[in-house]
Amino acid sequence: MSIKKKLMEFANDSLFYSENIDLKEYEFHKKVERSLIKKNDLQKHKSKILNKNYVYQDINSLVISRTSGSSGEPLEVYWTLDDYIKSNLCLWRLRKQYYGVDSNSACVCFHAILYNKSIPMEPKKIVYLNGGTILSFSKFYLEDADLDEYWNYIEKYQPKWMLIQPSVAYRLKAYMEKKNLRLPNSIRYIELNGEQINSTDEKLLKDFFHVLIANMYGCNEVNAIAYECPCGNMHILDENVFVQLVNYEDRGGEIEGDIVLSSLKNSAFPIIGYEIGDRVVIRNHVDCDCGKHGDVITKIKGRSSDMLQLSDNTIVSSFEITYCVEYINSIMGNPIKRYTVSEKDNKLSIHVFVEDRFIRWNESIKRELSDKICEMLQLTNEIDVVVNLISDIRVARNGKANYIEKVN
Amino acid sequence: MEQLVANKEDVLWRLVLRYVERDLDESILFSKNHEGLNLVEDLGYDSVSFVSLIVDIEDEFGFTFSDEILSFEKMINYAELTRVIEREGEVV
Repeated sequence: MSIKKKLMEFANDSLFYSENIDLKEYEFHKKVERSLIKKNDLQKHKSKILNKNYVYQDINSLVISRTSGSSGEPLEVYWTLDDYIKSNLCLWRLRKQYYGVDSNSACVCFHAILYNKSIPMEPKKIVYLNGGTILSFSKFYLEDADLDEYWNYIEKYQPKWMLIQPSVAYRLKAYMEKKNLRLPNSIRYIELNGEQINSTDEKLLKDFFHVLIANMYGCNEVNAIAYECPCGNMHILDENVFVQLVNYEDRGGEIEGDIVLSSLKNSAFPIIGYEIGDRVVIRNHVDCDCGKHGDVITKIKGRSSDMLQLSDNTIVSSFEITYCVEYINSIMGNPIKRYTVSEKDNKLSIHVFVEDRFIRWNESIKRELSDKICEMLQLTNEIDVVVNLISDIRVARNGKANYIEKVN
Repeated sequence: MEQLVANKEDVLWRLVLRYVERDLDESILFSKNHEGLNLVEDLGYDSVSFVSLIVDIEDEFGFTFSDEILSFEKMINYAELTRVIEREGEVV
């Protein structure tokens, strides 16, 4: 069945699509002039997007994947159990093929807020999930004393793999270096998700942890979008998701654009032509030594809401700043606790909150961070990078390590 | 042919047992006939272990389950799982 036909079948059972969107007119090409829905639509019209056959059924029969939403507004996506399994299956097949882990392999991960269906669970620092196959630690507690406690759990649990954000990986690296620790032998693979990482920094982590490391790019709305094979290519998982680009630019063999997603598995809550807000670079028709042939994502430039455009048109994403901050943390013993970024009058300002005991290193921290950011972004001289040390930064509820402030 | 089918069933039973974490009653463990078993009720399976089993079966028998055929509710029934494997395997 063609992608268009399949998605039209999904859409036919959704009042939102039937009433608002003419899918017959929409072209399912890889490059498109417009997307169909945005995050706001998912939030505002969820009862109409839901397949009408489920509206009057017990909604508890559906699986709910949930995020707090970048705007703080909750975002819920509903799945039948079978669709949810099918959506995740292609990723599990590859995890096993490439890295030898399956859904029952003991895993360590880090969480911000956990939900039971739609309800936030009581905050827990350490929790076992999925019938004990996942040991999860809170991202809110990453001081040395917390990591001492986590480390004891990890040694007893003997996980086979870890599913962590790059910023947490850097923090763990700094902690292990300080305490002269090595990963338990049971851990053979680390999967990075949630924040993007460049290949240089990924290599830094590989050299330190001495295990296989791969990137997974996904979101709660459609699950896995792309997955890195052992050859280093981020393959788009076209069994699970149809990827298009809007606001695109052709760049000699690669295309950069805002990513538009259609879930090929979710019949209960169709997500079609959904612009998630990430900007990516895609290379088409890659023949990879891992055996896969298809499109790969060569760069994820972050959410457009997490980006600043400088006066020389350089795009600065929060991911890039995160790398620089975490790099400084890894070489200087984790001095930076939180930070924000703003841009005004050709001046990129990084406001960092430094732990008290590092205060005497203020000037070094400012210099190293400023140098790293200029190097990373290849900034021109017209852009002034200023690092300000400040006394406190408001903590976001989602526990994410990076924030960009728009200053008008 | 019968020998091949019997071998397949042995292999399947070995794969199924891989994800059983509870102590099984001997009558189940050593039984030669698993037809009436329910993976969830009798063996403690959940959707996570089901996914592991599906990937193992695909690896072992050399085919990929089609979306049309995959059903948690149906395939936790051992007899149905066996039938699905036979059907999907024939397609390959």
